[in-house]
Amino acid sequence: MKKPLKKFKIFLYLILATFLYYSCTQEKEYINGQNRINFDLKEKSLKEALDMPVFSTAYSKLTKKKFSSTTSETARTALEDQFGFTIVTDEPVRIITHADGTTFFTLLIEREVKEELKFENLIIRVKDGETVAAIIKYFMNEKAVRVEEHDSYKMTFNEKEFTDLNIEGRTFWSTTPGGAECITTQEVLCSDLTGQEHEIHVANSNCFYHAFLNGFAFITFSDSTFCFPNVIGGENVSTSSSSSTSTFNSSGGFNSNILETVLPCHTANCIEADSTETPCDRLKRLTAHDLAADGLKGKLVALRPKTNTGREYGFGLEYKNSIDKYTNIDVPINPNDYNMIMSEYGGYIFGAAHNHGVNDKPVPGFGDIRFLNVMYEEPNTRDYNRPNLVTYVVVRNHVSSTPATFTYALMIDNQILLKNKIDLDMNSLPASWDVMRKLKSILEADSKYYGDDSSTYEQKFLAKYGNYGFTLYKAADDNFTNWNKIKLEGGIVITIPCP
Amino acid sequence: MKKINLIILLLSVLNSKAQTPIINNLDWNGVSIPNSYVKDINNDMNQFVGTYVYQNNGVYFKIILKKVTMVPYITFFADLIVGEFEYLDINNTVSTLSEIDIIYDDEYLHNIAGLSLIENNQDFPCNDCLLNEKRMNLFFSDTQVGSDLIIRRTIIGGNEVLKAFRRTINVGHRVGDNYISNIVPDGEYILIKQP
Repeated sequence: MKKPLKKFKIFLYLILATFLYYSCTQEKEYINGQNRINFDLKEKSLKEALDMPVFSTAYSKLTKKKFSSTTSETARTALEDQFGFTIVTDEPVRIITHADGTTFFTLLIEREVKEELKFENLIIRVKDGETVAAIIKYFMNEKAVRVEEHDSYKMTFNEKEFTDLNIEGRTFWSTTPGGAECITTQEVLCSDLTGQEHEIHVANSNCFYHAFLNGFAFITFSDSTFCFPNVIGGENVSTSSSSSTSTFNSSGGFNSNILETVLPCHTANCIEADSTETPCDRLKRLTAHDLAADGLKGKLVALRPKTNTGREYGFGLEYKNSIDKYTNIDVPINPNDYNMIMSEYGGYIFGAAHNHGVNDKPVPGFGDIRFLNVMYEEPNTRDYNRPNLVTYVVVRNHVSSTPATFTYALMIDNQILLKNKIDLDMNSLPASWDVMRKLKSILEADSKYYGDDSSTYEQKFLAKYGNYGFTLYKAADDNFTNWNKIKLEGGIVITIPCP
Repeated sequence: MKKINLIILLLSVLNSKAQTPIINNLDWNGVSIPNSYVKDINNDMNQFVGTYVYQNNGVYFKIILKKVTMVPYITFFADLIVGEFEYLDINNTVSTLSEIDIIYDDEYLHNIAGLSLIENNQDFPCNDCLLNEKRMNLFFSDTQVGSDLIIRRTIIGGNEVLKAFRRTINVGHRVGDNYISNIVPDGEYILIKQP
């Protein structure tokens, strides 16, 4: 009786293994409407991309030197010096791998002077071990609009400019079969699942991920033709062309030299601020998640017992791929620096949370206000996160044990005012002092200013910093059912519940 | 008449020089009053002056502190404790002791400096401090990272010691940047006063 059972088990395992194999092999096949697309699109950080031999070899040709991904010399390459641009190292590298092994890498580049409604990408193509590269400059019709679902952007261009780069004697043009005078690029686009044309946006890995989840996605291509009226042998040639959009031809393959995906600039020059959510709504939404979830609410609650310790704990808030997520409590922290966290800013960070220890003042401080502005001013902060920047501070109730703690949130109302106020404070101190010395001096003076009476700290905080261009909010209760605005009127602290 | 005018002018100049309000350090409320003098009226700072050494598990940490009086500080004058340090461990060797005798126009530029005398119930309240004992909350730059340095003078095991608690100041950290490490780790050090 045992043997047939064993055979049956083996049969079941075989079916399961076949199913798993089938599932895995399906991962790379994406569907465009009813048609399969024979290329893959993914994103990697520059450092991760440099771990790919095909990219690191190509990148070495651009840098004209050996490159180690473990060093921090992702800074300037020979090409950057020659053409006066800088690779934006914190933007992902978009990687398109075609069925025939041809790989395209797209990197966002910047110049010292930012131009309104213009940005540039560096496109590197590796085909049969040969590397060619070009810069495409995009002239936008209007600012890009964010598409939340795929963490991408809708944008249209009235012109593109193509600059072919000479890499070891090879250019896109010189490698065009038949010596054509024009080359065509195909920009990869994506639409939402309804396939509505007005939702067409720049394709990224989210489109392909959703395609995998849903079985299909709408991928289209925008063709641009660049001709070379004055071809100079071996020299870099720049030309421009109006782009025309054509949808993917179901019967056709790819006849273009360049398959590109756009990496839009992330500054206000190019991207429309899209937040219509009020600060109150946002605070309520962010802390509406279940306590058990690894969400903001749970993390803030986890900071409460830390207010009885002698040190600060904290975490960062990120918004990426249309998802709010939070770094681990205590990250980043230096092994030598166990009494204080270092709040992160830049990139996808839109906020920070930390507690004040038992020995600290039970209100936000100048450092917390300054940090709001640091996040805003950081060029790498994503524009879509700027209107939502927030700093949470969890403090101990020094006056009563009920409630045991308070949670404050600071959000910017007027960033120019905030910046001016902070600059005024910092610049009133000797220029020879570094930032830490200046902060220490301000915090030292504040400590004396607050004195010993805990019941007056909120009032004193608002009296000194209440006109700095931010609003102070306080959780209405331990469950974050609502938030209150805390203001000073006639020298008295008033509480205005969020509507 | 000219002589009288000159005398009046001289008197007014002398008078304006003399108008430097003196504020007891313990009463200072953190507000910068131009040309005022935040003074260590009871000489509470004097107890901290000296040379102190911590030596344990391959770590050598030496601090020299001195008191400077009525030196410029932002827009006013103050008595300050200033100092320099030496720190050695298996990974680091750093010494700023050669700077201890430098007289800066701005004495707050020493690697250890501060003016805040604190009471038992103030910054980092002290439960085992004596009644009316005074501590200080100083700035400490270990040449890489700045921090608070809360110091207290006491006696442990018959030795005169300086209890020093270091805590880094959170200035934020750009995502992707290399972390700048402290040379002197945060925490409490008990340094023995040297003869």
